[in-house]
Amino acid sequence: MTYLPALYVAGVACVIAAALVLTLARTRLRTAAVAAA
Amino acid sequence: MTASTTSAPALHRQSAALSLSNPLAAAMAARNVYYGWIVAGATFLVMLATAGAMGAPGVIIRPLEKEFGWSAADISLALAIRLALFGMMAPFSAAFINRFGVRPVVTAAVAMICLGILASLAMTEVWQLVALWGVIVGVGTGLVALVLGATVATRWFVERRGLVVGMLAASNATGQLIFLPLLAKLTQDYGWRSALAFVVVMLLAAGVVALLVLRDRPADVGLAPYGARAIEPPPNQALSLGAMMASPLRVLYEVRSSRTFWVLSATFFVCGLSTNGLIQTHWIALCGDYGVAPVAAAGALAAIGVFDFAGTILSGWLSDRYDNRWLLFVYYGLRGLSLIALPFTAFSVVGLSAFAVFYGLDWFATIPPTVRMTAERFGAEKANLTFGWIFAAHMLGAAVAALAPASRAPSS
Repeated sequence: MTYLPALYVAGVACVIAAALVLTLARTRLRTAAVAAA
Repeated sequence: MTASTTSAPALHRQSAALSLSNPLAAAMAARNVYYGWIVAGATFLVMLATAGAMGAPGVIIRPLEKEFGWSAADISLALAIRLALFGMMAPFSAAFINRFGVRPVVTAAVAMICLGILASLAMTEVWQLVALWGVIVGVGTGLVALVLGATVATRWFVERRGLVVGMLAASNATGQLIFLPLLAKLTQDYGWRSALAFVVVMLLAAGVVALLVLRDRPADVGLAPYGARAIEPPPNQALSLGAMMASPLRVLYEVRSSRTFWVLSATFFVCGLSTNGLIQTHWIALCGDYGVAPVAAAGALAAIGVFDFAGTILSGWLSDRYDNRWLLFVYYGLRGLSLIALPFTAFSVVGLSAFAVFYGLDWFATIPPTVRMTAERFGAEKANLTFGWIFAAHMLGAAVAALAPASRAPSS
């Protein structure tokens, strides 16, 4: 069971990463870019 | 022959003399088939084979522990160096490709990986593992990683570029996993050296195909990029090697204050940590802790590779249609929950199968939205080199995770 802590640390890090990406500005979608053009 | 003493045009001429590309391109054109698909196919094979070499250490950790009595910490150090160099080479591999051409770089990389692996068949000391697998294989595989795929897709395709990027990215990720059952079987039946010999044969086959058909640009065979009308002349290659090598550092300096760059780098660090680092490197040993046999564990990893192939391409399609932030939120969030839930499955057949499907679909699905966000925020000029640094963060995360469980005692 030596890998158990590593699994939990990686799991929590992924959840934090998920929250972090939402702090970035919204992306422009292709349909929006085409409409704007 | 060294990079610094041989001119780029001379290498291009030597490279073209060995090629089947001109007659093959003419034959393909007569059948109305674009030659870029052959180039993409050869690149796919090279990335698949080199990725197979990247994944091989997952099956030889335990045999090395048993044969040489090396600790998991020693072996993990070599694998961590390999992963870090694989990533750190990314910004510079673009510079090498621009300076010397695709074919010379691919040929040199394949030769370097083969030599590193072949020499490792006779290793007896742990420093040799670090030098051969950590440094030589790390640099060689780094030269032909995702930047190669991005370069080929960008130069040869205007239309369907996203599809080609997705397929080449998927080949890299899938190649690291899909050969594992065969390598585990070879290791189990004939020893770890036979598995590595198989990897060398696979690499040589892909290298020969690449040598015969790869060309730098569509203009080299008298074609325009797919979806474009005009033949684009090759850019002026007058830049000195020093200036070319400095370009990744210049771009890093320019993006150093961008929040987007650091967030994408940090999240990609976590991506590498949770895929190449933890699961790919330690999965078989991890499953061993729960009583799962190496071949069965390798089978689950190969299943991850199969589902990853579909997941990465699907993610490319989705990234054109939905907010990329939310895609990354879903990918990272569900990946985190699945890692936390994994121990509760007791590593049963059903539990492992479900994990393989889910983790496979999610494995490198993060690449297309991250590439898209990088290109959108930093523009076409800086996108490749900026992504090279973000990818370096990915592999640094992988190196940290490869090293982290190193305190584990060697198995008896």
